Amino acid sequence: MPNLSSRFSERDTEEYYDAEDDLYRSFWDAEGSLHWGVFDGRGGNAAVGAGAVSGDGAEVRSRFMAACSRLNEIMLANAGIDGAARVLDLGCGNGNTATWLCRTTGASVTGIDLSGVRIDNAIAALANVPELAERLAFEKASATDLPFADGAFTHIWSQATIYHIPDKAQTLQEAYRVLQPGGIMVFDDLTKPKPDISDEARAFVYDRLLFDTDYSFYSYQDALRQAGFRVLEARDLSAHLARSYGCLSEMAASGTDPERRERFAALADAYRKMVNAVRNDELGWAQYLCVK
Amino acid sequence: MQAQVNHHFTEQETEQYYDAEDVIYRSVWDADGSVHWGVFDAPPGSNGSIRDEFLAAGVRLNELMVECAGIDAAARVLDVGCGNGTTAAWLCRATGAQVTGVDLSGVRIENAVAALEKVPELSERLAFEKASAAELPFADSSFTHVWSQATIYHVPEKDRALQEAYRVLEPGGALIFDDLTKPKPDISDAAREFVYDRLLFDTDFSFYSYIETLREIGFRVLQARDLSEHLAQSYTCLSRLASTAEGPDGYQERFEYLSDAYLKTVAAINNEELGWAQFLCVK
Repeated sequence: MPNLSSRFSERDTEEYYDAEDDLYRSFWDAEGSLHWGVFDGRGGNAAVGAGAVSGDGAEVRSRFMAACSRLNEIMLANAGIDGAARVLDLGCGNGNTATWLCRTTGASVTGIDLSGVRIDNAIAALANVPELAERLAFEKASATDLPFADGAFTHIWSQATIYHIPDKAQTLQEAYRVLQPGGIMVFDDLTKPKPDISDEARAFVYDRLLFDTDYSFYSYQDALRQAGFRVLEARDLSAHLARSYGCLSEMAASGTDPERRERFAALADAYRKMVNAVRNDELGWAQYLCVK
Repeated sequence: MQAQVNHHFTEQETEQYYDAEDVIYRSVWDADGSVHWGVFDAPPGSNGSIRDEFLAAGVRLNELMVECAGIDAAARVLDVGCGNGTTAAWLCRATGAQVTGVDLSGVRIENAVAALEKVPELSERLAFEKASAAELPFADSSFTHVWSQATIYHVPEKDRALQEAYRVLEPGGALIFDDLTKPKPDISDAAREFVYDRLLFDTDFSFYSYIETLREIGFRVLQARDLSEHLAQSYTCLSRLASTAEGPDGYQERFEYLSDAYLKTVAAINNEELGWAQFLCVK
């Protein structure tokens, strides 16, 4: 794990994601998707104190994966992506979600990521889906400097990406620029509910994820408006982030590869600290839908 | 019949308006006496009859609100501005929750109480009471959920209504509601006459400032949705329903007036003079 201060660079992020792919596939998702989920159930009283999903390892995994699928479906329904859409997936990683979007909706989808390893994976996987070849493409690029013309897309889709980017305002401006007027941006991102965070959250959450942000759930909306967007929907999904990390902690703890026992144990512990940070309002998760 | 009001109206005027207008609205909107807007999954006119699409959109809004509020059989729900009680009865049946409805209009509460006789299986869990949202006759922390549809825009003291909702919720309880908003502060004379005065409505809240106010009261906002586009689609449907409505002699002029007023409402939404939003927040 790279050792860095809370100020990190795009280079750090690139190296991190180039290096860690294999480890995460071994317990998070063999397909190489890395995301959080939206769980079924009570959204009111239980929303703030939602507990971990209990059950054996397989049951935890299946509920976690179902929750990840639910997030995708919610975002898809909100954004109204269909066969006429031209979608940019910002931070596409290994390209699983971009491929799913392309297949499910019939849209044209372009995925970009800062990690060359993950873009190589995404391009290699294209060989398995020749029927999508005309409508699916991947490219290594920075979200702060998109290699696309103004108004090139009808939709921008981004999951768990922008929190990595040092210059978030520039990213939102670039997203705005490459959208056509009336185009939709749907994304989720981490937030910082309160400005002061503990040393433990700094070490196990912010530095571990190469993450920092000034945005709370609320101030993010101001930033989107400043970039020119109209916010159509804002959802605070923090309780679901806590449940996701509760699941991931159990999944990491049940990892079986003996050579990785120490890494799994360390991750399981770090994920429990993520749950604590969410409960202490030191970390949040939000999803937004906005229109240019 | 259009009540003559200035921009500052009273609870008394709202009460009289809803006491008087029930029959007219049943013939245009919904024979069961629900008066609400809907969330569409396709532009009106693409899937069948306008009335069917409009009613389905209203059901969709209800279902979305139940799902995001997580109302189940353990819930104790207060419906603020329950009108004829149709949605409260549906909530009670669909979720198994205990539901109490309050409304300022005595006529509508009497309708709701009368309709209770038709659903004896719900009588243990469903009750109605005439009351003001700004002064709820319930103890602190009485409810797990407060539910409100298209009501708070009528209340002159909106902050007080939101504070009352906060007070009667138990800690961790959820407020789920929709309300009209004013996207920009200055509105045209036409919007004033055909939207604001016709609905006895005014507000200082935009979609964004509403969120600020909810936070100031103490709520944590979990979800905010700008549904303005769906409001425009709802009024497009309603204009067509009003133009083809049939009723007793003398109603025709009123239907024509409403059809025109609904088209002007669509124009106001497109001009950002009127908006619609839905919020989920927790105490």
